[in-house]
Amino acid sequence: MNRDCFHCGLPVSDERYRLSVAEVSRTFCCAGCMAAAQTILDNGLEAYYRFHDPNQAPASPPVSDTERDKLLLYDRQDVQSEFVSRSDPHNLTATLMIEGVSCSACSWLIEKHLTQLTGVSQVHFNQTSHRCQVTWNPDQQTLSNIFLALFSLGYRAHPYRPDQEEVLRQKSQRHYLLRLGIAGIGMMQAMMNAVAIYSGSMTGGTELLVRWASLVLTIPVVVIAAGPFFRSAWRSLRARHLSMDVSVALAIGSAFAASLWATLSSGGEVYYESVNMFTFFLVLGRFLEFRARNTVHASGNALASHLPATCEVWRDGQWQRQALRDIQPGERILVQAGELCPVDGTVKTGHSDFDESRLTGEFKPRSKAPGDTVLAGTLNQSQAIEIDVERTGQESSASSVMQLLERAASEKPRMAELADRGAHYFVGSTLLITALIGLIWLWVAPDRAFWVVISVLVVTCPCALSLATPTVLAQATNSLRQRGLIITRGHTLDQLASVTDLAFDKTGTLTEGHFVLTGVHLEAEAERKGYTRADLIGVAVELERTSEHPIARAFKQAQAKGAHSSELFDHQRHPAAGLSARGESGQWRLGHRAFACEGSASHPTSQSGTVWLSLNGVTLAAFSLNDDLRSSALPALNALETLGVRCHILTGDPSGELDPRLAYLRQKGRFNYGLSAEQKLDWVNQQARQGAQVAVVGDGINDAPVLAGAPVSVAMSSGTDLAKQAADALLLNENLSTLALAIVVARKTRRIIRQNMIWALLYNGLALPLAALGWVAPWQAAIGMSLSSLLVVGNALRLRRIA
Amino acid sequence: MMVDALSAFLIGIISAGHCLGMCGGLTLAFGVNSKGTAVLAAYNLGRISTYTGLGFLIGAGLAWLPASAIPVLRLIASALLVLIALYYLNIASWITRVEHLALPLWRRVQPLARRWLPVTRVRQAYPLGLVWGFLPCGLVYSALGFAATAANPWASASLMLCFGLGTLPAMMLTGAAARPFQRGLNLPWVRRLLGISLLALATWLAFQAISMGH
Repeated sequence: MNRDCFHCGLPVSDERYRLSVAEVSRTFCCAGCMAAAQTILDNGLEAYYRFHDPNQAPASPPVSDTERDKLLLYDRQDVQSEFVSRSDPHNLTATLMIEGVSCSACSWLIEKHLTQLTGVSQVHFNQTSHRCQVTWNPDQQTLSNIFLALFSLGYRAHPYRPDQEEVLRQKSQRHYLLRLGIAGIGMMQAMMNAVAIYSGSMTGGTELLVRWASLVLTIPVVVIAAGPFFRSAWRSLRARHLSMDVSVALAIGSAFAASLWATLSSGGEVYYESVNMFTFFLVLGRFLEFRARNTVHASGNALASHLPATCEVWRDGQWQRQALRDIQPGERILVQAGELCPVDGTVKTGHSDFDESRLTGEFKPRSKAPGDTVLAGTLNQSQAIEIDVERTGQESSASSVMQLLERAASEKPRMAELADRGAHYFVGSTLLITALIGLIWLWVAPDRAFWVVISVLVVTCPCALSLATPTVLAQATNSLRQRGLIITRGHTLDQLASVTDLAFDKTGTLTEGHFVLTGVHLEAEAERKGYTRADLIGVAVELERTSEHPIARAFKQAQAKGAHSSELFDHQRHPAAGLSARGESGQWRLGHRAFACEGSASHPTSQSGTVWLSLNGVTLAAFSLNDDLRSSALPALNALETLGVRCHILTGDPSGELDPRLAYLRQKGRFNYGLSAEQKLDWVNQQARQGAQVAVVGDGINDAPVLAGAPVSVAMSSGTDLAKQAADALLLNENLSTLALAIVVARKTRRIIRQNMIWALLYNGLALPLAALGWVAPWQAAIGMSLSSLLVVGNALRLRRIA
Repeated sequence: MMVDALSAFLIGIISAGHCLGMCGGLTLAFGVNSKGTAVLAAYNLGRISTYTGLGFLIGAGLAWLPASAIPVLRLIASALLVLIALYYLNIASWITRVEHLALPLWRRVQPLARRWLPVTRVRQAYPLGLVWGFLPCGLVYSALGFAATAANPWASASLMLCFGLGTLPAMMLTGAAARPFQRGLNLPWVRRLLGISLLALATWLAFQAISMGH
C-alpha cells in the first residue's frame, strides 16, 4: 500500500483516512485532504488524479518516422548552438515552447514525465508563457529523446530562441517582481501595524518591539524596492534636471531617515508604514506601465521565436533537412502542410492555403499559387509547397514589422514630450511649494511640520501625470496591432484622431489590385504586320518588365507558358500615362489611349479599363483589363462616412472609370483621377491649407511621395517596401474596415489621454491644499497617490475592449 | 496585540507546505489558478473572508468570558499549536482527529460549491473561496483556537485575517512555481525547522499565559 497521501503526497502516519478513488482504496494524511479529494471526485474531476498517478501512462499519439527524423536533427551541435546553453560542466539547458497545454494538470504531467527520463535533472514549466526549461546531461540523454517524450505525451514542442531584447525584458520583469514582492511584504507589515494601532492595545514595550521589527522589514524595501528611484533621481540631478523621481526619492528618503532617527533615539514619530505603502504602490504603477508597454513586444517576439529551427531544402539533387540559419536566399525549400513557413519567399510550385493570422490578425486563410509571396511565420494549411527563398532571419517580414513597431515605440508623441518637459518645472515648483509649506508649519506648529512636508511631497508626486500618456498609447498600439494595423510612428495615433478627410488610392487599395486580362482587340494594322495575339502580349510583358504596377502581372499571367518575349531596351516610365521602350521594329508604347496612340500624355479620353499598344504611333491592339473592388471597400467607406470622415479617391488612372457603387463620390466631387504623384501631393497640401487633416491610404505604387508627404499615411501590406518605410501605419490585413476602427481607437485614445491628464492635474490640484493644511497623513497621501495612478492605468486598459 | 497579530501571520506562513498540498491541489484540480490572477485572488479572498468570519464568531461567542479565563484559552491554544508542531515533526498526527470533528459541517457546506463550478469568473471564485474556507483543516482550527484567546469579536477577526494573509503568499503561487516550492517545504529538514519554530511559538504563548495568570 502506498504510504504517501494520495492527495498531497505527504507521508501518512496511520491509515485511518481512506477513500475509494476509481475503485482503488487510497490513503490520506488527514481529514482535510480526504475532504478535498471527495470534493474533486464529486465534481467529476477524477482526471486530475489520473494525471497525478505516475504509474498510469497517458494515451500517447503515435509519432511518425518522419517526425522522428526531424527530431534527430535537434541532437546536432550546430542546431543546438542556437538555443542550448551549458548550465554547468556536465549539464545542458534548453528552453522549449510547448503547444497544446490546456490545464494545470498538463504542466504537472510534463514536469513529472520529463523528470523521470534518465539524465534529466531539472524541468521547469511556466504555465503562462508555455515555456519549459529542461536541464539534462548530454552523456546520458539526447535532446531528441526529450522532444520525443513530449510528442508521445501529445504535446508539440519547439525550441525557444529569445532575442537579446527579450532577454532584457524578462530580466527587468523579474526585477520588478522582486521589488514588488519585497515592498508587498513591507505593505503587509504596514497593514498589521494599522490593525494593532486600531485595536489600541499598544504598550510602551511592545511599541518599541514593533518599531524595531518595522525597521528590519523596511530596510530591504528602501534599499532594493526603492533603490531604482534613488539611482534615477541621482542621475537626473547630475544632469541638472528635476524628474519625478527626485521628489519620490526625497519623500522616501526623508521619511525613512526620520523614522530611523526616531527608532534609534526612542522618541518621535515613525513613518515605516507610509514608506512601505508609498514604495509598493509606486512600484506597482511602474510595473503595470511596463507590462502595458511590453505586451506589444511580447506578441511581436512570439512570432520570431516560433519559426521552426530546421527546414527541407533542395541540395545536391535531393531534399535535405537543414538548420534554418544555413538557408541562403535563392535556395528552394519545401514547406509541408501544417508547417510554419520559415522564410519570406515566392511560391515556385504547388497551390495551398496559408494562415497569416500571426502577422495580420486575419484568420481566413489566403490561397497561394505560383508567383505569390509567402511570408515567414505564416502557416501552410493544406498542401506541400515549394518556395524560392528571398529573405531570411533579420530581414524577413516578421522582423521588419518588429523594427517598424520599435520605431513607433522609440518616438515620443507631442503630448508625451510636453509632459516630459513639463515635469521638470512641475517638480521644481512642487519642491518650492513644499519648502514654503514646511517653513510656514515650522512657524505655526513645529512638531507637525515634518509629516506635513512628507504628505505634501507624496501627494504632489506627479506619478499619474507621467503615466497618463504612455500607457494609453501602448495599449492602443497593441489593440490595433492585434487587429492588423501596425502603427509605425509615435505621432500617428494623435493625428489619426483628428482626421477629417481620408484619401484612397484606387488601384490596389480600394480594388484588389489583381488585374485580369479579359479581352484583346487586334487592330487591322497588327494583322497586316503579321503580329499575333501572343506576340503582342509578349511585347506587353517585356514593356512592363521593370514595372511594379499590378497591370504587369495581368500580362504575365496571360502569357502562354514557354513563349518568349522579344528583346526591348531603353525602357521609360511615363507616370500616369504608360510605358515606352525601343525594339528592332521601332518605338513601342503601352498605356492610355492618349499616350499610346497620339504620343501625348494629356487629354485622357480612353475607354474604361483599357490599355493600348502602339508601334511608332500606330495602334496595334487594345487590352481590356478588369480589377475588382475589395469586398471590404464599401463597408469601410460607409463606416468612415458615419464617423464623419470625408472619403476621397486619388488615382493616377486617367480613364475616370469608377465602380458604379462608388458613383456618389464623383457626384460629391471627391473623385480625382488622372493625377500624377506630384498632383496628388498638391491636392493633399491644398486640402491642408483649407484646414482639413488628410490621411492618405495607398500601396506606394505611383504614390510614394504622397505617402511620405501626407500628414498621416497608411500603406497596404502588399505595397512597396518604400511605401511601408514612409508610411505612418501599415495595414497588414488589407481589410479597409480596420481604418474606421483605427480612427475610433485613435479618437478614444485621445479622449482617454485627456481624461487621464485632467484627472491627474485635478487630483494634484485638490490634494495639495488638503495636505498643506495638515489634513492628510503620509500613509493617506500614499494611498491617494497610488489610487490616482492605478485609475490612470486602469483607464488606459479600457482600450483593450474594442470590438 | 501586535505580537499576537505577528504570531497569527507566522502560523499562516508556516502552514504553507500543508496549504500547497491540500488546498493547492484543490485549486489545481478545479483550474482556479489557470483562469488568471483575479480569479485566484477572489478565491483566496473568499477563503480569508470565511476565516475572518469564523474568527469573529468565536470571538463573539467567548466575549462573555471573564478576563481571568484568558490565560486558560491561551494554554488551550498553545496545546493546539503543539499538536500541529507534532504533526509537522512527524511524531503524532493527533491534530487530524480535531479535523475529524468538523467533517459533518463540511459535508453540509461542500455541496454548495457545485453551484459555482466550473469557475471562470471572479464572481464565482469568491463564493467558492467562502465555501472552501470551511474545509476541515487542523491549521485553521489551531489558528482559530489562537484567535479565541482575544475573546473579542473584532480582535479575533483581525487575528484570523492575519492568519489568512499569512497563507496568502503560498496560495497565490500557482502552477509550476508552486511545485518546486512545495517540494522544498516538504523536505524533512524544512518540516523539522517549521515544526520546531511552531513549538517555540507554542512554548512562548504558554509561558505568557502562565505569567498572565500570576
